[in-house]
Amino acid sequence: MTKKVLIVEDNELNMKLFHDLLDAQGYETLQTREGLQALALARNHRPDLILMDIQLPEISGLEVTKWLKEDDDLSHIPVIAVTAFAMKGDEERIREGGCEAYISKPISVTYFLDTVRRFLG
Amino acid sequence: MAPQSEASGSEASGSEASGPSARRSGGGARLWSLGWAVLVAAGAGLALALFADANPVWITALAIGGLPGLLGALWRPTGLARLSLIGLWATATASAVVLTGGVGGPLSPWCLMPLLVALTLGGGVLDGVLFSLLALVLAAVIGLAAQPPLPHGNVLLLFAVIGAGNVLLAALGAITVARRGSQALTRAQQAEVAELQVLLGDLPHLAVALDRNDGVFAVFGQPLPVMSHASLYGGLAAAAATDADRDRVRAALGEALDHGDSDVTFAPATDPSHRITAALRRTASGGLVAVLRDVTGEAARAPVGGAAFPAIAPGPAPVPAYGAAPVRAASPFAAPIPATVVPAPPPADQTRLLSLTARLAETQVKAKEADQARLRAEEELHAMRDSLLALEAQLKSAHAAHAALETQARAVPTPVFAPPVVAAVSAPAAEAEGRIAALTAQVAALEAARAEAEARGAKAEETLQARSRFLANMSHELRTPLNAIMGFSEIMRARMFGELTPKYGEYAELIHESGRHLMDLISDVLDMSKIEAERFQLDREMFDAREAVSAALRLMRVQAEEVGVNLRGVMPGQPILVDADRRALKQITLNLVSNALKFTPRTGHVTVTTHAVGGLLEITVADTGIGIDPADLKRLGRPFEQAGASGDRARGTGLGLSLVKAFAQLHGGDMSIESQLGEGTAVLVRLPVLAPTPAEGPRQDGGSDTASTGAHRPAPSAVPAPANAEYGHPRVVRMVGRGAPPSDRGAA
Repeated sequence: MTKKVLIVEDNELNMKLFHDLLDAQGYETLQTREGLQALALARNHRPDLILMDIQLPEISGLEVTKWLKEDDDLSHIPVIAVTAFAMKGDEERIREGGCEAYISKPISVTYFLDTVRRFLG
Repeated sequence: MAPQSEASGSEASGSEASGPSARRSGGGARLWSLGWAVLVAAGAGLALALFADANPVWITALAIGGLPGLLGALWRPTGLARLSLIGLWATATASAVVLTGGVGGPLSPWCLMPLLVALTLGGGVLDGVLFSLLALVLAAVIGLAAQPPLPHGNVLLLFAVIGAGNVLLAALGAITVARRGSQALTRAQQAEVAELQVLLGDLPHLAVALDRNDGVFAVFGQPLPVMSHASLYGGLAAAAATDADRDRVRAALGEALDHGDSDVTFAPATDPSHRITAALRRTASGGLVAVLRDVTGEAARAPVGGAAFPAIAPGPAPVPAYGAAPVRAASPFAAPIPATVVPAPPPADQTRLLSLTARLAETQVKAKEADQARLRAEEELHAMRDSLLALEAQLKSAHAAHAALETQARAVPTPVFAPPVVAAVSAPAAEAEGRIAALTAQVAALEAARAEAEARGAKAEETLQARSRFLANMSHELRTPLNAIMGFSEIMRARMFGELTPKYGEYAELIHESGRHLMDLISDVLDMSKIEAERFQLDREMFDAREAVSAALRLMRVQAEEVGVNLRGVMPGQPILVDADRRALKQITLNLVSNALKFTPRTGHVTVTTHAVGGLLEITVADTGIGIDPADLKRLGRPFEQAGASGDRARGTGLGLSLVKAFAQLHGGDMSIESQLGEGTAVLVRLPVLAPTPAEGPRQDGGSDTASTGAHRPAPSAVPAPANAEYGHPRVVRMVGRGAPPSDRGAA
């Protein structure tokens, strides 16, 4: 069965990049640029993986991750933070927020795909 | 528990039996019923045996009269069912009486049976009496209507014996059963009393029960250390209080008896330094209860003197009544006091009472300890707050002193005002006036300077914070588009979606490379900005400097091979233990090597030497590159400055060297550059970061590359170093950092 990946990303170009990369690997993608909608999509479609941008227009991706991890039905879905917050201490902060993995922008395509594969098998 | 008018003995009072005690006598009632049935059956058997021709109607009457006995042996009802059982008895006995000649017949005593049944069942005898009367009336009325034939002779006698004898035996049985029931009742009461006693023993206060004449007959609850129970039993006023307080206590007792309650504080005879408060209440039966409390601590806080223990105004009448000797439990007033009036508890209860009391005391001790700990913590808090305030005050005065100094310093170069003033105005008044004016001006200037300094400080802090925020935001905003640039170009470079023409492939390569360059630039700019904002924090740790340098060399190896330059590392065999920022050390090496590779032509050499020399860690990166023009050397190390023509500059960010210098300075070290145009360049970084180890050992350069060491001896003052085999006569430019070690200056 095709694996589903939910991409939460507010930059259109980056959304296209992640979508094209995952699509080329044969994954199905769900896309949103808003945190609240991300939660609803996760609930309705039960993706196998979530790629989470941290700086989002309304609600921080960390906040959305917190909600996901507090929900018994959704907490099992791995969340990879893909973020341009790449300064000292950012990774620790984001991992403590409940994200299973952290990829800093700009991404290395190889590392990005390796990390996704690690969670989708 | 409702008050009960129970006599001191255990005699059955014939009053109502309460629930539990009635249940306990259930076995007796059943046995009694069975006894009745057996007696009646025996009578019937006797009659049949003696008189074979006995009237079958009479035998039937006996059977009917005995039947409820069998029922009562199986069933012991309560409530309404009890009434129906008694009613059944009444019906059966009345029938038997009617069948045997009515109220005049031999079985007429059986009409008493309902009463006896009610007695055995407990719960009141009134209904029993009523049913007995009913049975009697029934028998009489039916007897009037249909006069049954009376038997003759011996049969009549036998039946009379059966009728009277059975009822007599039944009555004896019923009374026994009833009495046992009421004894059970007394036992239940005793159990409750014992429970109550335990509860009273757990009272957190000392409670005392008294009669009207100050006779204490029971003491319960937490004992007061300063008052023995023995002294209490002597009477609250008569023995427990000191002579001085006796009358006041008596007055309070009288007041409580007259008005329901009163309070009195007195000194106990056993320890007059203490103060005991007694809260007195009159009980429903006219006795008194008192709750005693040691208020010595509380009293101490109140103003000392008689006013602290306001005595209840002695009532005029009752006082003389208390002269009598205390009356003990035998007093007639003792009896009416409710359940609290109990003789000494049985030993088992006493033990329990004591252990409970002990437990309570323990809890109280713990509570007191916790309270003391809290108080101590509060005191410490206060002390801390005080020292904080003192510190603040010190800080303030230090600020003021600083501001004053500043103003003075500013005033020094302009000594314009004072002499002319003194010269012009000679009158003392004018002089004083002038001085006052000068002072006022000085004060105003001081104030202004301080305000300005404060404002500047606040603004600086604000600016720093704004700058940090800006940096974080800028980093984020630059990385976001860079992600698309590098991501898509990497996809193209990898030809993920099919072939590209060679040209487009090359462009993709270039885009990706430029992206990486931009990325490095961003990182460098951020590091630099942080250092300039003095926000860069060194992460100091102990490690082997060789490891950090080796790691950087490994990273640069590929790049060196790409440009065809021979990259070498020279370091001692022993570890060089340093206390420094590992990342900074690696970054220093990376930047220097990266620079060297950029400016060294193919087949050239870049050598990285790591040493511990004279208490310093030295890292030298020497190349056989194009060298640096002496005119450019001065600018190097400043942000964004690069040597050479502008056309060459694209090859670096221009920040690498600035960062190296900044990192060195953050460690208290410095960076220096030696270069000869066309020959090569050597950059030397010296850091006072060697960990103090016992075996620091001699200089480590003995076995290292001879090519570079000579050039890096610290020169006393920017004098060209001795000639070097590889670099000819390199020009030395010293770039001394803030923390340059003093040994540099003294070295010959």
